[in-house]
Amino acid sequence: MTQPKQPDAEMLSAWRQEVRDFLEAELPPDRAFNTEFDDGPEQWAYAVEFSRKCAARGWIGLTWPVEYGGGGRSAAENQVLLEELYAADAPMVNSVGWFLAAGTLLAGGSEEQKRELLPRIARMETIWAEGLTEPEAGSDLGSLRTRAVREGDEWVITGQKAYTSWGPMSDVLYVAARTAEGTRGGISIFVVDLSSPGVTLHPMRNFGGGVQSSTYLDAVRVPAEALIGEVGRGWDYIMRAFYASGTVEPIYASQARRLAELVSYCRSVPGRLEAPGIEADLAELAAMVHAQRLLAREVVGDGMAGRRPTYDGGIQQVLAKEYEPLFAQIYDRVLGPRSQLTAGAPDALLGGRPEAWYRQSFANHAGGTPQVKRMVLATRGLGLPR
Amino acid sequence: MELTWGEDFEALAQVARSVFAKDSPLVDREGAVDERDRHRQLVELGWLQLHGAPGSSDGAGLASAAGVFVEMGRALAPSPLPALARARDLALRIDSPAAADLAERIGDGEEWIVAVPLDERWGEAPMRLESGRLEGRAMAVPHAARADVLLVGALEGDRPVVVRVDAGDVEVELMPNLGERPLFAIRCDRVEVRPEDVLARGEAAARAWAVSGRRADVMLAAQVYGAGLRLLDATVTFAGQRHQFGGPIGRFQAVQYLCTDIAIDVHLTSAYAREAARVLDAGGDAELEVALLRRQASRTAQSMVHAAHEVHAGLGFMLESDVHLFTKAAKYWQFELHHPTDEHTIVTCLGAETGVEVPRESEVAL
Repeated sequence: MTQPKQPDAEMLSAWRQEVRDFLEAELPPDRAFNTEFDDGPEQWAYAVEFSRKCAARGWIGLTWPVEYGGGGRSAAENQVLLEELYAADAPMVNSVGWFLAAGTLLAGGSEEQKRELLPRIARMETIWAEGLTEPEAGSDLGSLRTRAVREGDEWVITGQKAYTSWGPMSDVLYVAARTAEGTRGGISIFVVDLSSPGVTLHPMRNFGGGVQSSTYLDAVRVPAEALIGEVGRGWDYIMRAFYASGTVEPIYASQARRLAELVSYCRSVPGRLEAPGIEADLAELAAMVHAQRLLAREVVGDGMAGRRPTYDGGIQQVLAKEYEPLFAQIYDRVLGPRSQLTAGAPDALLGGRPEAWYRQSFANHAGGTPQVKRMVLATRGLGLPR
Repeated sequence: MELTWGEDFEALAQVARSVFAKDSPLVDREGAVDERDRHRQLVELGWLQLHGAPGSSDGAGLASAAGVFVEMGRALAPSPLPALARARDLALRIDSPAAADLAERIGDGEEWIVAVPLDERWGEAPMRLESGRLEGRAMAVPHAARADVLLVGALEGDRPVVVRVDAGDVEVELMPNLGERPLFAIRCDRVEVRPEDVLARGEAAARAWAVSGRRADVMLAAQVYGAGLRLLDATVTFAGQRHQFGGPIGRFQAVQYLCTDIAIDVHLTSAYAREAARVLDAGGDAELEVALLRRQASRTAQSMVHAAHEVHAGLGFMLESDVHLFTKAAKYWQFELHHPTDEHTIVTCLGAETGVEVPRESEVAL
């Protein structure tokens, strides 16, 4: 596996422009994912089509090795790509495949699995749903109860997964199941075809405007090769996919664009910027964006240089989580009472999008609550006792 | 895509750590080292020429020089380095032979020169230069009692100036303060100023004051960062050793949150300072980056000591604990780094090419 060439500032600038040009040409503003977790059939079909265009350009799996269908490019280029996609609220789908499944496969998948499954994610041929969380195993994922039992050449999986995003539209489910007692050594990862007998999805609407499902696995039989990597290594794979990817989800890029829109609005209304507290609030929002951008640069730079990030990158993870709802709250305070008006309301500001952003900001538990991230920072990062 | 200190940061920090360890109230509460000895040592170490004009061969660059200031903060060392470096930085940014000579004299240790910036935060009217006479009062000038020369900021009409003044011509009065810092009020009572002692006027003076002030603030924030690292270490250690309710208090999430609060604020101060230093070293004016940094660092100075006091509780309230030493230092940093206009500056910069909106040129440095 060859190491990616490290880009200089000029290369990154040209790359950013290439992505930006593509997005301007291919993404009408009204098709961006900036109003809802909109997975209605029409928008979903558009999102899949758009994501496939990105896939055709080799942008999914940009950093993966070429032999696994990736682009062999650097983490810096990947971060620039993600920043531009987030800044444009690009309707990319299959994030579970792109990050969690791919991260797991790269961390522990067999050579055959990497050559088989990763290219299919990169080409947007397989859409993955996430099957980690359970009714009694949310933040305490290690206590999950779904079981996988080996029977001959098959695994038989039984259990219930909760809050499966995009389940009905996905092809396969990333399942963490118990193959033995304990956390480390007791959990294994499987890829389960969602059309398998015994899989049932019960969709539920969420507060963000999207759909998540309760997923029931009733003695679902999967072939032996559905086990990703080795038995009992699932916890390590999940941790590596979540914490050691060298990539930062650039929510700050989307927030930066929202902030620019907010400032433009304030400047367009006489006296708004001078109203009590407005400048302080705007400065607070700017500081949140600035901080996250710097920390992302630090984490990505550390990853490329092979350095262990300060406090294991825990501060970046905590702030990304904590800032999300705080950003929405302060944003609405600046915008004023019209921020509660929904899209389509005659007097709504910024197309009513802030109302949706506010609801979506409560999804900051996804991938780990802020409290869990704080505990990780305290114990793993600072070395405080458990 | 990097966010690191400069190439020589670690090397300078290592030397500084050993130097300041011998002159730290955390080691010796009495502080037996004389200021003249400190000055002599700075000259010997070459640290009075540590950072110079961007693009010149003079100095190591802010992002490297910060290594010294971080360690100074970590030791809470009472060095006159920041005051002298500020004055030299100001002189370097004035395009005149007289200013260049002053910068050289500071760097060589021949004269003790401190800057007296225009600063209305203390509620005093600005110093004024009228008909060749300097009149007014300036506050909180560090290490002024030792100074041979002052570089005074004043208004001539509505234009800023930089004026060279012999220290013997002004009244210097100690301002006792919580941090026990050598801060002085300076009074100029119609001090005569020769034409050649007006080193810069108008835009040139304003820019010299602004840029040297921002550079000084980055170094001040570096001290907050250094102090914060040590305070965090002390607080985490204490939380692991202090037992209540049958075990270390650090296992309680309420205490863990306080410790992570310190870590977050201290680390953000570092990140902001590195970015501001990078922009300044590249010749940018860093107006936005320094405004964001000051806002963060000023808050950090307060939040970190309050969180540390909460964790240390009664033990931290006793003078035998070191926590109050950080608290005293932090009070000065809180106000020195707090500029009431910074939030206005940040908002003004938003949307400009250097703003935080996504299409920004400076992002190419990612």
